[in-house]
Amino acid sequence: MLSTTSTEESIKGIHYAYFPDTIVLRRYQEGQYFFQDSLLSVAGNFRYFSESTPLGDDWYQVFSYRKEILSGYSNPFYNATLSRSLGAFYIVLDNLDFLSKNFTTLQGFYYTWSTDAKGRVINAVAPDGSYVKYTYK
Amino acid sequence: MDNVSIRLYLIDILNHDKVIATFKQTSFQISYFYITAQITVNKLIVSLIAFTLLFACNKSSTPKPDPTPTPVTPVPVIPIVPASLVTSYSMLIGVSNSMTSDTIRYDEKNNIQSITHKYVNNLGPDQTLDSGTYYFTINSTGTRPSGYRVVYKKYYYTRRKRKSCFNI
Repeated sequence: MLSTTSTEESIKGIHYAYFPDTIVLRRYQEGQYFFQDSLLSVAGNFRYFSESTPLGDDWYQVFSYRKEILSGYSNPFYNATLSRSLGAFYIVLDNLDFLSKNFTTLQGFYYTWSTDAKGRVINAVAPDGSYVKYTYK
Repeated sequence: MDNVSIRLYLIDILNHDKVIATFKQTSFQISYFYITAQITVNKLIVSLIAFTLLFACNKSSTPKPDPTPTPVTPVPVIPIVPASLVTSYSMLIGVSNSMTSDTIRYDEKNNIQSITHKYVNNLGPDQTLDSGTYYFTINSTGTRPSGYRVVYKKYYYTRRKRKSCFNI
């Protein structure tokens, strides 16, 4: 369990509960659940995200998305320590995946990847014009 | 066991010739059945051993090639890449024409000091910009940040940036 407390009035705290394949985040607002996020990771790779908010006695799913695995490449953001601590934080608040060992992309996006001389992914292009780009220290 | 059986068999044969008593006859029949069964079992065991030996010899001495070899798909060799730290990341989503960019700074021990995030959304009549920076407090053990401070501005804020601090 990893928890944060905030000085921001609207968010009282965020609790991260880590299970073998699932990370549950609960964002509290004035003592009540504000959002409950669930991240499903399979074999160390982030695969599914779901965000829900309370609706009466039930939960209403706000949105969700799935990830696909590009097993041929390692994720340059992966950090063994952060993966089991703040990996979920970056995914939810900043959309950076420090959790997965392998590259993941949004489901349905088919990129052509390019690597540098060291084998690191430097960019990728999709048929619809989408692209990603990385630079390294 | 075989010697005893054979000896009983011979004794019973002699007794059979004399036909001394019904008891002896019955005894002979039982013994004969026992010996016959014993010989049959022994033959079976010997046959099994011989079959096993023959089968083993056949396998080891005459290997046969696979008549329909399955082509092996070459497995790509992924080189082991030394740990590299990403300093910037940008992504354009073609469908929404939105652009995300992140700049990551590290300290001398390669702990993450800050992440500056920008999101430009060109979907719709107006271009919007969200931006903010997370500043992380690194604890003495260096395993993970002990807290962070975020300064950010959403496109719909009409006034200054907002700040908030989080302790972990």
